[in-house]
Amino acid sequence: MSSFFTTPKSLKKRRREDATGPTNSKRIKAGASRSKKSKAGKDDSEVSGSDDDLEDPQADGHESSSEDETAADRRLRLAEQYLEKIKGETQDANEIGFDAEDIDRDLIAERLQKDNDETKGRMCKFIASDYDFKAAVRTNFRLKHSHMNGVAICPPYVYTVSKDTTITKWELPPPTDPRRKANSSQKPVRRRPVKVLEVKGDRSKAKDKDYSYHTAPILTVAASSTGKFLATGSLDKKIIVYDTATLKPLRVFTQHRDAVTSLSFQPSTNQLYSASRDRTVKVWSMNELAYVETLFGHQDSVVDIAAYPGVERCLSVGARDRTARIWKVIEETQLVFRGGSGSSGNSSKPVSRKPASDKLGSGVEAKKYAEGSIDRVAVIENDVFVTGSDNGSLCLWISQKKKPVFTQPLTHGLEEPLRPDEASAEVHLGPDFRLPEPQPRWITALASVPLSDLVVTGSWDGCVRVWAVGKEKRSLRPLGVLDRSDAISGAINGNAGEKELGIKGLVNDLRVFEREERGQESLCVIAAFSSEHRLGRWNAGKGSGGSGGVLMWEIPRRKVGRARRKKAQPKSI
Amino acid sequence: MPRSRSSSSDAPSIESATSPQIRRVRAYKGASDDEEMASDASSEALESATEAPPNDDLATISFGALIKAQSALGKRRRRSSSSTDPTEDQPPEPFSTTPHHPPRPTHPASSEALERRAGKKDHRDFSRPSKHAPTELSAKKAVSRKRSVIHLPRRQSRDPRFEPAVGRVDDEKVKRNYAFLDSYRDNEIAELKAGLKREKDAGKREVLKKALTSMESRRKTQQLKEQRQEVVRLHRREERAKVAEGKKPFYLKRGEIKERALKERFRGMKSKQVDKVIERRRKKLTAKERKGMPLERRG
Repeated sequence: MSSFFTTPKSLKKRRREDATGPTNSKRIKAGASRSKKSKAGKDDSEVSGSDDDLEDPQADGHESSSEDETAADRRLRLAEQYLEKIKGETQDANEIGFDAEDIDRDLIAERLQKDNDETKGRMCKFIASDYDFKAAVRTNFRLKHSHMNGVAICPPYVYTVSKDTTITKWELPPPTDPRRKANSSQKPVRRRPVKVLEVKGDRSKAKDKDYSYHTAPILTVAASSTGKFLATGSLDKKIIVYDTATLKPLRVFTQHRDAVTSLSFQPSTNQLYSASRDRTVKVWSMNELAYVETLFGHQDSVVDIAAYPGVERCLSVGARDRTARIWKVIEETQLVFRGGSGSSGNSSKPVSRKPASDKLGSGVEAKKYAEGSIDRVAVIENDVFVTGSDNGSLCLWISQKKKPVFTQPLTHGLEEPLRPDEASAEVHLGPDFRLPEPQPRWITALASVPLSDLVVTGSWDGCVRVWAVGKEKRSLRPLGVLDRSDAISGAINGNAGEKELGIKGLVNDLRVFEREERGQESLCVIAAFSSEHRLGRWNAGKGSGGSGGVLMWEIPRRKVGRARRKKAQPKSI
Repeated sequence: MPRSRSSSSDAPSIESATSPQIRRVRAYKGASDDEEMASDASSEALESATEAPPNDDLATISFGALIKAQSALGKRRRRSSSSTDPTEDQPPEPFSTTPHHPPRPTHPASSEALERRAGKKDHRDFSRPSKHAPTELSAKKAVSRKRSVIHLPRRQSRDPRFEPAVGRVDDEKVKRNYAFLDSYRDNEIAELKAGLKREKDAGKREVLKKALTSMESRRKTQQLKEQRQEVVRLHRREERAKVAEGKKPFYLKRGEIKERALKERFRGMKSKQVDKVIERRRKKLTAKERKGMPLERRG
């Protein structure tokens, strides 16, 4: 197989290009047209010269197609089929595309490389610059209940869970047609997701051993990418697995000895990892609906877990033990990454010193806030991950270093300083009374698009912030802000200075994914927010207001020119 | 897209040969692929069950294989298994619709307990490639519930006798500094004697007498020690003078020191006192010798 891809015959390619003549924007799929392949006349890179070799066996004189053995013949045939399939898919994707790019060796090579990267778990999508966050369209999910604690997606379905033990299944509307958008001057329409199913537990059935729904606030939800299973974990120490079509409980797992704080499915498999307050991480197999094993090592309750695509590993964070641990399930070992360096300072790189965005004043960066606990984690690729802490710092880690390579301090700024009557119950404050210093806002939600360089964070400052991982994977830069203002309501998205347009509550969970349907690509960010943190009522009654809900933003892709620039050369960041 | 059905199935071929610990994971994965073929599954289950060590350590058998073995062998195995919880005999899941989800062979708590015990035997030691790399630890060792919230270091006690910072003891200096205690001791002896004269009660007299005798004997030994030291000091002074002239130093023997001290002691005494001292000493020695005689032969 590899021999097909390693023989670039540049001279031969050039000859063929001159022969075929003018370019065609569309290619006919039939096999007979292979010889009449038209090139865009663009850069002729030598990456996949093998495509020509495959399609034009007759043209090459010394290709031994006639005397092939059966095995090689078969390999050839399968490879051709695969490439045909890819060509068909890329052609479909670009059929309505207005960027006039031909399907040529580059696209196919790119697609092959991307497939390889996906299976190996390497970052393959550099989408950070592709999306225009200022043009995001926001939608509310229509909810009767509040206090949303978690959200999970398996496109086109979204599952939300709340504190009152309700699980709701929603169906997302198909993405808008960009052609329609480009032609007419009408404003983008908000399309609400449709509620498909709803299921609720009963708190009074806590003592009932045979009850198959949750009896305490549900803390987390995860949906398998295979689309078959949904798992929820709650304060009642149970993990319940449902069938996604009917939301009927398939199995209740009670092995955990304390609340289950986080769940994560391994992408494209049915293996589930669960994290709990009893300091263990447990591995489950949904194919057999069975418990597999327990992983020990955390010194404090495990608050978040993320699974690696492509390898049987998972990544979890203990809260106040300030460690992130990569669990190598097969070898039964763990790698320990220690945080907690707020007081001693960040890495000495100059990039980390710059403030994140408009909100943070220049006087803020002088003070360093100690990292008390690491609360959230998200996987970027096999060797790179990000964590969010309770001092607002977003840390970027690589698996070869035990300390973070980059720290973004105060991602969501500081809280407002307390009023004197809030800070002290004394009627007459003494002369040496000092207001307590404003504390940084924690990172309460963190998500990333799998195998890409996009990260979103949420807190209770009213907006969801979007970050991009640098090309060399050693830095983070801010991309934009999502809040309740958007083009429809008349305000420019990201203008979170106006308080009325911020999210009224604390973002408990975030999911972000790309929707690629028939050529339309948009980025979808879903945030589940509530007036309380999902793990405790630390900010209850602080006037954050609102009751909670789920918000969704659809971010369109940028215009053509920029996309083409992306293809030519990756931007150095 | 010709991607494998599950990414996990790529792993077995590479990892299966490497270590015995992962044997159970591999058996489990192999079992998941052959779920549809019942006969193969049962044979495989039996195979993997027989692969288990003879002492039937449940922690090492994969869970999938256990389930398969159970379903193949029927209820008889479940009843004979000692670790079955009695509540497991009832149908535990009323909501399971698919038939191939049999109840657990062991109580959930006991399997975790087995895992925790098995984790204690894990003695692997990992070395990091560099000091900047993250530490690698075993994932099977359970962590205790004891937490040290604030780490208080244990008090280090230092013995001045073995402390190099303190230095050697200078007895002369100590004696000079604490010479005032001798006068206190003499006063106390006088007080005890006076008190003994006044005291009528037999018990209290005993106590006082004991204290008095112990103090007096201590005083006596101290005096004798001082006399000996005096002899040695005197001798050393003379020797120093001779060494200054150029002669070699001469050290006194222990017996010689004792003799000189004795002479010194007797010099100040009158003949009656000397006789008394000698008599007392003779009596003491004979009494000691008499004790050495066995009881049967004592007169």
